[in-house]
Amino acid sequence: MDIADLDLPGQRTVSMVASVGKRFVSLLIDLAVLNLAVFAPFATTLEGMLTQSVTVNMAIMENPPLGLQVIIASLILVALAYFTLFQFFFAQTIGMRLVRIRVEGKVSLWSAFVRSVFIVPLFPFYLLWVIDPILIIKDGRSLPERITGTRTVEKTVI
Amino acid sequence: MAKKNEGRSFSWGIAIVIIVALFLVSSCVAALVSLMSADGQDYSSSSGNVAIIPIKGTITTQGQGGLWQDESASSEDIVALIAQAKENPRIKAVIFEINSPGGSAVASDEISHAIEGLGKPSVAWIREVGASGGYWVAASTDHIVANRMSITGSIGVIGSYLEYADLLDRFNVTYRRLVAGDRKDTGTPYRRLEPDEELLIQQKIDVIYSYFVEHVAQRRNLSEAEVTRLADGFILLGVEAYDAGLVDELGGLDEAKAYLKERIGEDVTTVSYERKSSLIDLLGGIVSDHGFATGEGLASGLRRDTGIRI
Repeated sequence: MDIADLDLPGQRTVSMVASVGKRFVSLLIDLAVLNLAVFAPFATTLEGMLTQSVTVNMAIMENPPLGLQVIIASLILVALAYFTLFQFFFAQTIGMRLVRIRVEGKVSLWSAFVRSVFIVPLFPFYLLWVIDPILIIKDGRSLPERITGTRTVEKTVI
Repeated sequence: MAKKNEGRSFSWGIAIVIIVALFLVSSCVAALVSLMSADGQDYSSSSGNVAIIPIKGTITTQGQGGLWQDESASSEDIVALIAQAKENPRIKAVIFEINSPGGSAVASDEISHAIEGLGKPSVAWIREVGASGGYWVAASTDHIVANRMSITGSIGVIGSYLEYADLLDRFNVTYRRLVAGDRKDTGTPYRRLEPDEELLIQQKIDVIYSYFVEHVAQRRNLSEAEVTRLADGFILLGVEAYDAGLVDELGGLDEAKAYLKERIGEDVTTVSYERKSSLIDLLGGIVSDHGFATGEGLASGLRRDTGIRI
């Protein structure tokens, strides 16, 4: 429990825009959770499809076989589902929970999904990897947050 | 449905349920993809220097082997694996692990040609059975290792089939013969085989037999007369085949590796070259197109297949 939750006399708790650093750390934690708990089943299958040679793997990725395409699509969809479901149900993912930041605003299933599209490594979504940090530093809200009318905040006691 | 986040608390229980659900979805997708993507195995990055290519079951051109069918060795798949071993510079030699009672003459010949064109040392390691077509393939290698009790030999051709003509007569079933080309239905089980037709089929069998004898004589450095003496179609145990010059060494994988170690001049590290069954293979099986197939020989036991096989 955070001290901000205690609502002690004389203290005020305000929501401040979550810093880029906390957002980044929460993302790393979420990716670690995904890697351990959700991507693990694909590891053995991918081992059989890819080689130990980076050059050969790059050639494979230029024209991936159907099975590899299905796996890549599945990884993206599962990661999307993770971020969407957690933000919809709890307004925070596991990573956000651990660094004590959360989503503020109306979090519908659609807005949770839109907030999660940055995870898709395809055009135009990967542009968010550059655009969002700039926007967050500028005024604290990423592009999906502006679109959905939400923001990511952390509680601070003053 | 939109929710405000105020007052909603994080539940680790539900979080775990979500994670487990996503894990199960991932597992199902991964298993499905793994089964459906059995083709296209790339061995170019494997660390072994000797490939082991299995030849198990009845030898056919396209193979079969669904959940409800016996395993078979597809010459298409095996030739592809041989090509991979040939192109892989890390692979210095190939061991063919043979456990086959024989099968299609065409399929056996396809594999043999591929072995002869390999350009690298090869060893046939005969397990329980390496007979008929299985021996045809083994004879193409540089060195044959068999267990003393392996069933091998069975150099011959079989074209036997069940003739139902009398059975049909008994039950007043009529075979309506409609052909263009008088020999078109020669060998059909639904009518009696005429003596001249039997002679014609026997001639074809004799041709295939002569190819078999010639192949073994050439590859084993024996005279055709010697091979013909051994080629009565009967099986030979490994020890008998060794005495007759059809097998080079009695033993198993260790002996095969020892031979190759001497041939290639380095320690042997094996890597299995194998086509994994796809989901489609397992569920539906692949019906082999025997065409003018040859019989399997004594070592195979009773089978429903008809046609000429080795």
